[in-house]
Amino acid sequence: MALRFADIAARMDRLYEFDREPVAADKLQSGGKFAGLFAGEHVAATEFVIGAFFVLHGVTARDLLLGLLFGNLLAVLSWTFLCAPIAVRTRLTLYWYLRRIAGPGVTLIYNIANAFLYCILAGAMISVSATALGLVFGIDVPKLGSVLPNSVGWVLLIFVLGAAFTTMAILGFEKLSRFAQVCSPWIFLVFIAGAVAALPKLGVQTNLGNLWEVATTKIWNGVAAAGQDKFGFWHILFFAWFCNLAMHVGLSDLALFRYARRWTYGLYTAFGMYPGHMLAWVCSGVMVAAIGREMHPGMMAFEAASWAGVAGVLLAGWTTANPTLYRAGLALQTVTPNWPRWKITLGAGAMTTILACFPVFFLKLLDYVAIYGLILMPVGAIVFAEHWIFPLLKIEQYQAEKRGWAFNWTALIVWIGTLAVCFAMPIHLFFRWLPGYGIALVSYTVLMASRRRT
Amino acid sequence: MIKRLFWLGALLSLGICLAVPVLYFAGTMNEGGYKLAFNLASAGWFVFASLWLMKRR
Repeated sequence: MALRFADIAARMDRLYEFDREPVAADKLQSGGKFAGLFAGEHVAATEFVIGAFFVLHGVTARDLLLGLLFGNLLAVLSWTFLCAPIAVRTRLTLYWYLRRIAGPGVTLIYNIANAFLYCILAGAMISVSATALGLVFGIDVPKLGSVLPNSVGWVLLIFVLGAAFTTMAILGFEKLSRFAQVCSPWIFLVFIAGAVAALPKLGVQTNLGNLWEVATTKIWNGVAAAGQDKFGFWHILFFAWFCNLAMHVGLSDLALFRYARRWTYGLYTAFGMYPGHMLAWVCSGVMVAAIGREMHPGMMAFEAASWAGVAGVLLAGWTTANPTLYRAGLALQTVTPNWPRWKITLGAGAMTTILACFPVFFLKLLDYVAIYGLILMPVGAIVFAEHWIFPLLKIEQYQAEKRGWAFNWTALIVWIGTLAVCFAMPIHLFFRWLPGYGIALVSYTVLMASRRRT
Repeated sequence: MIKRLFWLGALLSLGICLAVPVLYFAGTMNEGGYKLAFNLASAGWFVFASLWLMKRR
């Protein structure tokens, strides 16, 4: 067993070998590169669903705009003050830094959890794309609140798309990444064009004189759809903040910011947040209101921007599912003995396709995004404590690395314990991660400090 | 030279994609015209941007 684990750990290390060393000074990137990267990364297929769900959850226009403004600001500040400073000091990916802190065993568990979560996310993107392709074949989209597939046609559609996405991910991840660069500015325009073209259907006058009135009475009118919770300012603020929780507070974007010249480059994430997680969400809200509040991203885009809109939804799903499948494959590669890349991507694609058949993942996307961030958040707290708090309290850092532990059991217990406490909290799912972060930070520090004394 | 033309074509297509919904909203274009122009400009963007990217590499 010990030998088997050592073998897995060694294989995992080989996979990430290329980024084992801290980034050299001559490889650092300019701020413009970061701005471009974030601007292109945060306009995905899921944006069509998220903004529309805010409308269905009965948020008011004022709460939406203020919530997105401040929530995205908190997200940018989280990247700037939590993630980027650790990245520029260590110049390491989370994989290698977590390995020093928590040992290869915990890192392996993190990888597997991440792979599974990536597959669900890619599955949701396939489902969103299927709503677009379904229009072509006249296949009904599952209704709001559905958990299981509604028809054989839907399942077949998902299988066709899943097979196509997986095959293309196997054939050429690099080429598709380049194609995604071509798509991203245009996809962003599909949101803008769709929303502008939907305004006349909602009765907005050409002089925009009644824009606010239409926004508050016909779009974000404060009335939740049947079966949907009512959202307010705090729900929106927290959602915008935790939407990329695994990346900023969870520190997985150490992989990007290790190339930053200064920690202040975290501020460049605003180029992704405000166009993608504010403007695009507002636009999809306008589009869903124009089709009578039906959760059907394909129909929203078709009504607003014709077949180009349908292509926009399809391509947004494809270009974002592709790197997600790739990352899932990379994470899974650690537990698949000597499998070639194509076989692992095929496995990840098959799992993703099966998950995508269940519409619950895209129809409960907001909850899933919350759970995704929540599950990985304690790891960020553990790394933050080890990096900043331990030196202040004179607690020995990197004990797992120094003593050759496969598992830092304290880290694992804090991770699982924090999640158990979070899931039992009697507050809305969206708000649980924040006290959870505090619990993980304090409990890991206290437990590691008490270990020193014993 | 040809690279610059592709770049200009891509930029123009993107500009049309942005302009036509505004014209439709302003009432100077009908819905059918807007959708046709948006579809064509979108196709133009993919053609020119891909060619520009290929030339750049």
